[in-house]
Amino acid sequence: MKILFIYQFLTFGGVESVLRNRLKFLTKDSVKVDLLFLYDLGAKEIYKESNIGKIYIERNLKKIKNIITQNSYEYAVSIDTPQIHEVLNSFHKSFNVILEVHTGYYENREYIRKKYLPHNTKLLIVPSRTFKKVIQKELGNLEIPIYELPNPVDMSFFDTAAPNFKNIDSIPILWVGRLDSLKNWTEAVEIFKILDKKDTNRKYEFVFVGGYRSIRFEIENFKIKLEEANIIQKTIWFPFINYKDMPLLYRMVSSRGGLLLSTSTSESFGMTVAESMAARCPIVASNIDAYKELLDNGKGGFLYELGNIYDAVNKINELLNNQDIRNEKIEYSYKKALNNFDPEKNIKEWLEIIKSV
Amino acid sequence: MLTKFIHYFIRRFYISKRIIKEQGLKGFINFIIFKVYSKYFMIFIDKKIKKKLDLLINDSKLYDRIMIIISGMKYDENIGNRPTYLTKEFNKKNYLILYVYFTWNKSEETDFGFFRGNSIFLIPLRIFLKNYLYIFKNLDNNCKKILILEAPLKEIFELLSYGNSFNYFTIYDIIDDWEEFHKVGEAPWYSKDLEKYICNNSDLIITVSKGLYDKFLKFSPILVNNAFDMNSFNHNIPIKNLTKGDITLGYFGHLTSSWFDWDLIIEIAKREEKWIFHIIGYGAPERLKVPKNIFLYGRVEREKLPSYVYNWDVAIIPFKKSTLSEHSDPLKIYEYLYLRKPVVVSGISHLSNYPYVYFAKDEDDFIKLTKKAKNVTLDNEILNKFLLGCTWEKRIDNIDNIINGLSVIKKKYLISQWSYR
Repeated sequence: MKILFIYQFLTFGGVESVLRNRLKFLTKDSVKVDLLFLYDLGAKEIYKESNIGKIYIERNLKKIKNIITQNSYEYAVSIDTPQIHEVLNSFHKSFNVILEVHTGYYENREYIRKKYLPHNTKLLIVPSRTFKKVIQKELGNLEIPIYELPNPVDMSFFDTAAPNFKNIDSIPILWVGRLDSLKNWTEAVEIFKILDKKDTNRKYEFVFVGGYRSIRFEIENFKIKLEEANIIQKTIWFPFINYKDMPLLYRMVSSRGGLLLSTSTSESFGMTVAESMAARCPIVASNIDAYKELLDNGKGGFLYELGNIYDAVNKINELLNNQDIRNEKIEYSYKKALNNFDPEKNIKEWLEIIKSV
Repeated sequence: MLTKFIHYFIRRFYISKRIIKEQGLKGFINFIIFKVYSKYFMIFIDKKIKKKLDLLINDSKLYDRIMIIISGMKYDENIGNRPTYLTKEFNKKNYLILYVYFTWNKSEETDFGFFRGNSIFLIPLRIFLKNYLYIFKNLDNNCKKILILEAPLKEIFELLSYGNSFNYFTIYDIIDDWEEFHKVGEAPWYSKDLEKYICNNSDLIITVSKGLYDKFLKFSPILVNNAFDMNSFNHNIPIKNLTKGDITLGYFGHLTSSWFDWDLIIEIAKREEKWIFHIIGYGAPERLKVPKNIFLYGRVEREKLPSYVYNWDVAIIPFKKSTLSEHSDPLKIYEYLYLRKPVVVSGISHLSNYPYVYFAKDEDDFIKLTKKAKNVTLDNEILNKFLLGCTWEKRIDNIDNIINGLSVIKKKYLISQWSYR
């Protein structure tokens, strides 16, 4: 079997992680896989250890068409990349086009709402039940089967042992995501500000991961907001972290008594929360539908009312103060992650879906 | 075609809406300016810059150690500041050095490219800021990568954070008490909170003086004092024939009234009319009026300094009593001693631990100690023993040993392995 995955950006985002996790097992099953990205934003190393064929960086539609033709792929899997739909459309009806919809950004799903799908699209795959409903609604009465399959989480998240770091007495609160309004980083800053003010006896460290390739004024804006909230001196910021180090980061945060805060206003799945669940890092997340589904309405972590920073602060405190609740939620989440996000199991299901075409 | 066109505009509309919501109208205008500028103007400039940077990137493949030094000062062997000495000494240890320097305006950006040979690359901060991702990414091999920050400039927020992400071992070298500098009107860009951010996000903190060591104790710093470079002076230049007094005193260095105690020197010069003061340096206050027995020379080339100093009986460091002074470790103290001059100091009490350095509490004390210093006989053995441990070579050995001892970078949140080719 020969598959071409197509995605717009080669960067350190959730979709790239999903691809990476799948590729490890896909290539084991002697499936030949190539990747095509339209823009290289410098994250090739994500796929360093994956046993994949070629990584194409190409946005010339004619050349993309040649690549597909010359390599005789059986499947083209396009993930939120409507720019190449014109090319896919030019192939015969029998050519297998699979569309995966992962983007939580409303504006990036314009192609779904406008039903701008290649005529040879066989099926759609989405990462959660909640998101399936959203896509069904946006697609209206278009009759294309939509399958729901959670994203896989790399096994290293389940296995990594907690590192032993001495002489650190502050509690880390981790936030991971792009510095944009969907991920709602400004709300995280507000929450950290109140948290820091409220409990002066406790030392916090606010760890932001994300913002790689943000342009200067976005970084400046981030810095200003941290300064205004008076937490810049307690902030650790990594614009990105190599994917192989992420499990360690979650384990570190957890072993030092900290937690993951996610403030997203919308998610199709919630990759960082899923990874955190697998790495036994407790979670406080906004009460959006995707997180309700992931955390089983609060059983696997606390949900706070989106926009209500005081609610978030209370939930964080509860998770930091009550060891029993903390352990209970960690265990619940870990088991759920093990059952649902195991990449080997996941890839089998994924193959079954695409073979059903 | 039309559908594609409509899609393009709808997408742009939503993106614009999101930016206005996040950044306000000002942010949106900035965004548009950035986009237009980068699309239509940057291309021409970038090509030239990239060509030079590619030379650096190609050369970097020959090295197993790369160091980026971000400094508030230009690389200047004539002035001889700490960042310059770090560069020179680390370069001797086979580090490829990328020296990034701050300037107040574009006209000062005179140095860009390799400096003398192929292992020190100078680049203005403005250009580095525009290209650091390209540089970080392309220098991203498996060698030891060190990022040294010599000043808590506001741009460091971004550069240090990216340095950490790109797996650099990050060092904040605290060469001055920037907070105190800021209080006296210098370093207008300084922010105390940002400096704490830098300390919190760096892997190693180095302080230049005991006072700074104590101030930053909670970040577990190491103390690496300033030093001297015996090769920076030319001893073959004939000694100048300067006016001598009953006691001939001398100073070289910066003359800003922020720390140089002009009142003290002028008062002593008035009281001791037969003493002669030779003051070398720049930055003295405008319209400064000094008595006849004070001679001002302005800037003097570094290598020529001995030809002046050999005329003196006593070297002085007349600094105002302040936290700024107490936390400093002037390079000149080592250089005075190397040039075999006893030193009278005010404002920096910890220097009295050094041989033949006398700390004056006030004006009377300064006069008394100057007379004492004039008559002291210097024991070369004591001085040599002391100076042997105060060379830049020794200081850099100290830092390099720490770096070499690391096969693993233990950052607060990451453990990364350095592997050698």
